Amino acid sequence: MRVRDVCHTYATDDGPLTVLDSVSLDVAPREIVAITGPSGAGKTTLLSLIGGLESLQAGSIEVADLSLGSLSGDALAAYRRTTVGFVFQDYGLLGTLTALENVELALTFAGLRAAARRTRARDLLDAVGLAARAAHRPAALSGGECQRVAIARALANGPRLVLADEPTGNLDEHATDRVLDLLRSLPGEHDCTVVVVTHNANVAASADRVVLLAASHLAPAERLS
Amino acid sequence: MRWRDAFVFAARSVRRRIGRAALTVLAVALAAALLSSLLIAAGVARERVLNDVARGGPLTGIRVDAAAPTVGALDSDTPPVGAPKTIDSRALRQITALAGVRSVTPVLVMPVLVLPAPTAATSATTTTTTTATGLVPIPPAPGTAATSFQDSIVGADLHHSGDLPVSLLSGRLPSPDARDEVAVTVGYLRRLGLNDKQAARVIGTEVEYGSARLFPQLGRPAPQRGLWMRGLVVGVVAQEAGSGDLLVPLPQAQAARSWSLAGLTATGFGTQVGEYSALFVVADSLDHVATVRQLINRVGFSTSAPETLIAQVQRYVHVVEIVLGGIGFIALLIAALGITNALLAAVRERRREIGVLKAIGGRDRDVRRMFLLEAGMLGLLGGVLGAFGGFLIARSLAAVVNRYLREQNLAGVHIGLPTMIVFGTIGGAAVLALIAGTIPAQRAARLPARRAMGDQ
Amino acid sequence: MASPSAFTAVAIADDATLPRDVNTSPRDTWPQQFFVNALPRASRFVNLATGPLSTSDVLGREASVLPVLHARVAVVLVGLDDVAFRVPPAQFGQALTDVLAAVHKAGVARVLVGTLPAKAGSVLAAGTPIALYDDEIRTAVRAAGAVLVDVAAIDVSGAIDASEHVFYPDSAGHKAIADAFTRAYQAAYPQG
Repeated sequence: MRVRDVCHTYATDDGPLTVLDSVSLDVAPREIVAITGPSGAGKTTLLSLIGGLESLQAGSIEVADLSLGSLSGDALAAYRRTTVGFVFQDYGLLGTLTALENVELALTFAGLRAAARRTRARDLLDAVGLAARAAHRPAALSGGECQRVAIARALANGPRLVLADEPTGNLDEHATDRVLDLLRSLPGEHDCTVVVVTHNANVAASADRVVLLAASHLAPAERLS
Repeated sequence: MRWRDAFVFAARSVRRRIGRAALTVLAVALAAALLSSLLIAAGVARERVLNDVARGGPLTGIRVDAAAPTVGALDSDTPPVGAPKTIDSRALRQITALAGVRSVTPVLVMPVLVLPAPTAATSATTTTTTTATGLVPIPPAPGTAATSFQDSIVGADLHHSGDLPVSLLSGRLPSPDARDEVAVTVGYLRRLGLNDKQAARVIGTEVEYGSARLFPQLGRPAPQRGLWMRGLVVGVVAQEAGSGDLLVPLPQAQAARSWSLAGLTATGFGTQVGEYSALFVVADSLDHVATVRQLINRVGFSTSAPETLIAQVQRYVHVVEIVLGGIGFIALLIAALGITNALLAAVRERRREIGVLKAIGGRDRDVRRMFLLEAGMLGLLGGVLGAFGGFLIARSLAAVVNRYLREQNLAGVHIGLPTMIVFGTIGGAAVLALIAGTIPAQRAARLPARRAMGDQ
Repeated sequence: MASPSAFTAVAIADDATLPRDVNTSPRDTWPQQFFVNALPRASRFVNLATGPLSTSDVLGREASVLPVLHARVAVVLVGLDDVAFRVPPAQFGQALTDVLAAVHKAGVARVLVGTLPAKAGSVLAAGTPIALYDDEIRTAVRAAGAVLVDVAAIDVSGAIDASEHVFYPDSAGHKAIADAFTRAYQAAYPQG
């Protein structure tokens, strides 16, 4: 993944607010990078830009030989569906669906048939240790379990890049450990790169590299480990 | 995303917000029920007024009169030309055989002297024996009740009473072959000093009527003697079959005619010399009335038919249909706005969810499809409930109407399941809901994917 | 096909049986009341009464039209004009016998003949009691096998017309005669 000179400005009532100013970042395949920084520094915006959730205003982002600046509409949706997987702080699970169906939903958008979807979703839940909880709705799962379902969903379409936004922000210590273990295992087991936005020192410590985003600029941070 | 998957997803969304969905469905159902019940009611009105009456009913009846200047032909708009021609069995056969003729019902009007049942007041002084023999006297009415009057009996083939311009107001029609039953008109009530609402008073009473015959054998000048007949009044009718206040089975009028004719020495005294006074021809459809009239005119008889009246009734019914349909459509439109509102609220509530759907690969069109299906589902469900609800409402209304019609001794209406209206209402509600769902669906589809990250 | 009750009845009588004037309803006459009270509703009725005429004239007039009427019932009350005309009882008796024969010949199955109201006798000269006419009636009825209606035995109210010397029953008188004929008919033909 290569981020080059990315700038991003929000229009606010008080005038334009620049949250990213000429930010560049290279992430190697199967690398785990943690982005830290104070609140409002633009971490989530950067993650949104990398994930194709936000339109690029300036600079360039290349992921798996795809230049995001040239994608729009359905192509961008296809990029989100096939190349990246998202893990949100509040999990982003649909309350009406079971754990299995939440994972299946990502496969549904990929156009897989029901039987294939079901098999793949079961395998993924099994991989995150939640095979027994497949039929439960998010309301019946603990925070850690929900986040593991979200990780399973993020992996559904075999992404090259997993983007996690404060994945342990709502979790207790035990659950945090399990989720971190899971994230750490992704490059090895699923052949993907992981970019994590976090405030949590333990999470940052578990990354291969930590970068600090402050005052709209990105800078290498000290290895916390 | 496949349609089937989108459908399953939409169904889950509906189920998840069951309360709001139920209210939305209820609004659509009520509107659809209103629309369908109004359409059913309008349809029944049309069926009753136009199909029952016009397509074979008395209003499509063509009155055929003798081709001679007669009182019966006064209203004829096709006055006869050529030699006088009376309506006889041959004419009956000829007209029956014409193309487009569904039925021909003969009518014979004969002048008679009528002795209505004595009122209670008069029976006490004159014919008290009538009560002793079971004859029910008519209760006294204000004003002077006639004890006898000159009038006419209208003899008709009552086997085809449905083809005659005869409406039953109270009681029943005489049996077609009965020699001892009559129906009377409102004019008869008037003669007795009774009003329309007192029709029931004359039912069960007896009326005597006599037709005149000259008897040269009894003296010079020839005296007249009557052939007297009696009839139990079984019903009160409104009728345009002939000018007379007593409607009797045809054989009774034929007997009166034979009696009168037997005494004639010249052509005359205005006695009905033709076999029938008029024929009532019913065309097999409204469209054939004009053609059948032309054919009858060609055979040599005058005709008159209320075609313009039917056309007017058709127009009125159509206007009523449009108005009722319009009211129902407005109701459905309001319900559709309800769907729009409910879905817009859902979109507002589910911005985050829509963002997540997009974040995990959902395209704009997938999201649009889900919301449209959700709207369609609400509309379809409301339409189904409303269509059948409307049917039940129409049935209930029909029950009330039928109770009234029964009280008036009129045939009731039947509400069958109107397939077109049911499917039309369901389809209409679903389509309208889809249209109503377009704006919310579009708004959902255009929500940026970054909503997945929450409001920033 | 007509029902058995659908038959025609006739009245043979003189003008005392007809309504007195245009203000009198046919319903006030005894034959009309007999028709309503005694006969089935589906039957038809003709009042052939005419007059003034003696019974011998009845033969040429009323009896002559009977064949075309195909009547089943005939009610006969003649003699009031004979009394007025002072026709000798025996001559009246013969005329009545001839009339009844003609009635029978015309196919009338049920014949009822009334004796004369007692008050009609007041026009007769002393020494010619009305009973003589009634005796002739009884004899003729017996000979014809008809049913006798003893009108003489009941009180028939009415008055003698001063100019015609004919007894005319009033409304009550007509009713009394009708009742007498009705009772006799119902007794003779209980099946109707």
